[in-house]
Amino acid sequence: MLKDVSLGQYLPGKSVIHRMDPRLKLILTVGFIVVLFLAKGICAYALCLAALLLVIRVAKIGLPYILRSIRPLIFIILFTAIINLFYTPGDPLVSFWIFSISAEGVRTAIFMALRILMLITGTFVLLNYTTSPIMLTDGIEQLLGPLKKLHMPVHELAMMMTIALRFIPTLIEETDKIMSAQKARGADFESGSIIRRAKALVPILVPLFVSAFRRADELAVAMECRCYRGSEGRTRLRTLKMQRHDWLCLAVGIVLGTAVLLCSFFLP
Amino acid sequence: MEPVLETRGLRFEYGRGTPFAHMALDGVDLRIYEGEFIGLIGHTGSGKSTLIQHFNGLLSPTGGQIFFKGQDIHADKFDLRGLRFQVGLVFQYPEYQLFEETVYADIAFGPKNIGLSEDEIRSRVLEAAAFVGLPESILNESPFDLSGGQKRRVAIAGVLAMRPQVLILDEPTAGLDPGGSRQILEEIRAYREQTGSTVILVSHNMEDIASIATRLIVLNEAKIAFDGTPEEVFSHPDELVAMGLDVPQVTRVFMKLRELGIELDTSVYTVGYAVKLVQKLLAKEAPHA
Repeated sequence: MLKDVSLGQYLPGKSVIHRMDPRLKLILTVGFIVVLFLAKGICAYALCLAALLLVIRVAKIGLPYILRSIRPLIFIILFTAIINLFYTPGDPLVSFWIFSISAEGVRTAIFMALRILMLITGTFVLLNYTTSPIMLTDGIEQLLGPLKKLHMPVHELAMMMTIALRFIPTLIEETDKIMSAQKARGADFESGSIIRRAKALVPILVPLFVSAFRRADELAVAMECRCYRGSEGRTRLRTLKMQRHDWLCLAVGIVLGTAVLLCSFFLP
Repeated sequence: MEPVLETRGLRFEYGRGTPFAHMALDGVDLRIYEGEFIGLIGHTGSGKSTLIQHFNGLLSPTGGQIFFKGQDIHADKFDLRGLRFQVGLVFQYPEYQLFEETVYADIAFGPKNIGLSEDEIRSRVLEAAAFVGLPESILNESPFDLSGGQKRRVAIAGVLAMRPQVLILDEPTAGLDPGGSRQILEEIRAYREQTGSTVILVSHNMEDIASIATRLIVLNEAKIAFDGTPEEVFSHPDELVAMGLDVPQVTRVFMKLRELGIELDTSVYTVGYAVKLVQKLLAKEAPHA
């Protein structure tokens, strides 16, 4: 049951998107989000959607995974759409009691929903599904590299992120195990008042914390045994270098982004 | 006689409908009778842990049925939570589930969930602690201050305190030193003798299993490979080795002896029986010498 939680699952592959430099992917994702928020009009949106579909196609991500990334946020998307539907001023199309729906409202609602949909799908396809957590933190660390000059512990932060990501599945598995064990002793997590249910979590949380601390302790010892001492003078196994396909992707990204912006300003 | 636990065509598939789907149990038919001491063995991933979690309804089968004393445990009105008090399950490394402030409170967690009176809980906690050899002075200490072996005992006592009719233990001696393991097995044996309950012991250690179980069930690749007395099962050493399992050391010694041309029965699995056989053989050979 808990194992069904997908926290940005990485789907290994060999497409251009998979092989892209993670730094570039981060920059392109940020660029995509900015462009998406600047886009106006049907043409610009259509172009964004086309670009997104192209990326999905190239990365060979199946439809079920796309749907899975959207599912948890459907409520927020619907909520935003409905708020926009009722609160956008304009000529009322239909009205009843204190509510009125305008043509502009319908338009904004649809565009808003589309925007959030594309935002989620885009970041999932570019970052979560096609970039391994290690690559991602590597990319973040290098992009934030200049902040080291300001004495920001960039490497340490990236290492913390890597470790946290690495241990999410482990802790989920552990929670599952502890829950089963307490259920075997008659623990009941599903019935009773909210306070009773909250109290019923104690037998899970205490062992979980204890084991998290134990794991942290063991990991720290293991890292020290391999002489880990933070970023100073540390070299890396895989140095990131922009390849030809990376430059190509960057070029495609810039062209598409500019095209969307041009569409927003000069076309309906 | 009606079996305590029975499975019919039990099937279980992990991750059904995903690309990671994997058959953990595939058509398991078992009848377990009252008072049996069952040793459940199998290679890692053979489905042992999955099987025992079906016995108390923690996992629901994807196919087939499970009966407790003739009642289908997944029938509509069956009390699954009540079943868990009757079929006590001690997980692997149970010491990682301790959570209470005192040893006493932790052992009392199960009985409290049954809804027993304070007096009854007290007597059960003391009884369970005595079974696993915990001194009364330890009951008011924090379980987190105890040694690994003692923590394990507290966790086992937590299940014994529910007085289950069937006691299932998943690798109760894993990670303990030989002395500690022997002691825990001895306590389990004593518990069964005094209460007449059914015990199912999952283990990798053939010596442990051979010395204690009355019946062995071998799982291999989601199916039952062997089911019988230790003699019967250990008389198939080659098949067991092919499944990635082992036979007791004595059995291996006897197999080697037979390879060397000495006429011996190889379904030997305890040192005591082996000594008798060797003495008999020597007595027979003596006149020639």
